[in-house]
Amino acid sequence: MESVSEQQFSEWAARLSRSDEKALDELFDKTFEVYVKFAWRFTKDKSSAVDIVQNSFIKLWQIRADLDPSQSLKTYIYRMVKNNALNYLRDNRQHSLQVDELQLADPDAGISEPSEENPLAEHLKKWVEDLPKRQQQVFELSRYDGLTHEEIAGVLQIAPRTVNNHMVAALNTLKDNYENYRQRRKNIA
Amino acid sequence: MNKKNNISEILSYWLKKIDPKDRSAVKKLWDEAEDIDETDELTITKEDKASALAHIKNELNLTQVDETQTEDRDATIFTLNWRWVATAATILLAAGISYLFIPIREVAPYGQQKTVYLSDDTRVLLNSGSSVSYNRLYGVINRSTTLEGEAFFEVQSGEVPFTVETFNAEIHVLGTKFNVRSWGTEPGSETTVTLTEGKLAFQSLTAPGSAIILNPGEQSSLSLNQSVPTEPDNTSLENTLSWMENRFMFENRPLYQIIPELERRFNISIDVRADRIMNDSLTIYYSNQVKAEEIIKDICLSQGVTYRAMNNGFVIENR
Repeated sequence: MESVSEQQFSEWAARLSRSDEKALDELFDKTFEVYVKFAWRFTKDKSSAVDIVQNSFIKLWQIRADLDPSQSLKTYIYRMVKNNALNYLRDNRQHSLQVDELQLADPDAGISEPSEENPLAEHLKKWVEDLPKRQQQVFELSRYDGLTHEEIAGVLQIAPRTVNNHMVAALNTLKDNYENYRQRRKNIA
Repeated sequence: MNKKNNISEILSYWLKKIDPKDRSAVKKLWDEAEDIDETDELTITKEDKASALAHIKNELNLTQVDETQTEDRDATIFTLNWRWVATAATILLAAGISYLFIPIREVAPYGQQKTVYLSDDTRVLLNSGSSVSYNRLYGVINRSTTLEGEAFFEVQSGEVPFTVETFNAEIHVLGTKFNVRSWGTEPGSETTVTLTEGKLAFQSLTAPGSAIILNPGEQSSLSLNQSVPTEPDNTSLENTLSWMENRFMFENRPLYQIIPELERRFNISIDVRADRIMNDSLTIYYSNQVKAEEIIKDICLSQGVTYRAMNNGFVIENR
């Protein structure tokens, strides 16, 4: 996955607002995967993630004339995808609840033992999942999507300072977990 | 700027905000995290991408630029013969005809109403959460529509009969005004037709031939287990049409119909955890200024239950 510069996004935004279909093609080609992965983190399901991103692109084209050139197109699309994903989760709450109940009924389901290959990575995965929701989102957007704190603020619609607070809290929690884990390993050895 | 640089730039930004003695541990975790992104298991193939793009283009009525096809055409353009032309024409014709029968669907989202004008100036006002579908030949060889939910139709006079199909019924008219309420998803679901002007025929989908004729001011219903609609009955037009002015007038209506209507009209979710009340019927009137909470409060008061607000809606439960 290659990263796309902010200049490239603003160029696309300008061309989109002039109804340049080629710009839509290029934007789609370069960013589709990234946004599907982002949507997947909410839905945990490929086909709904693809649908969500598809619909965001459709919406983007429909409102192309109203795009604000001073706003980052990159974070704007992230925000659309996020909102669509949350709507999807809301509308399918019934369904996912049932899935949760099924998993609850079977105590062994959904719990994976840390693998021998890379125990630290497996633990880390669990620690990230256990973070408060907002901290987890900030961590993932930063670490996996490579967004700056300002871009994350734009996506989650919170102040950049709040992003910093969430991220520092997340990193400190993860670090504490890591140090406990190392201590335990030492004691065993 | 590639992603690796970007990520290490971001890390250095965060490290500055971390206590110096903890930085090496955070750096280690940051590097380790590279391996745990679960989305790496998610593979998006070329085909996924192509079909998503095709869907987007189709939805927006944009032309798809398919480079491989352009090349093929350049290579074969001088070897065209009439057999291929005929085959292509047949395929195009078939594609064109099936395109004509792909229905167009208009939806009023929850919390909103929507007015749809069809090609003959027939007006359809959709209640919240309702949809009407018709094909591209509407007004040419048919005037067929399909309704899910509730709508008020003002049908322009014309020689081609206008029809509304619901999950269980069919309505035939020439030029009239009428309301159809048909929530196939509700318990005890039925289609109710109320005529304000003109004349119409109302019959079951499964047993046509036993149509009921309605005159202005009359109402008739057809439930799922009936094959003949009820005898026409004079009804309060004001009550039936109150939704069009955003008012709430329910006369002796069961809560299992009222609750979903409130959900659609206010775009909220109402979780009833006191099932026993759902079969009770209520008569309530509200102006268009009413808030959802006010109605819910009154319902709870009358039923001896209680409610609380939650994210995006309300929970109704026993005291």
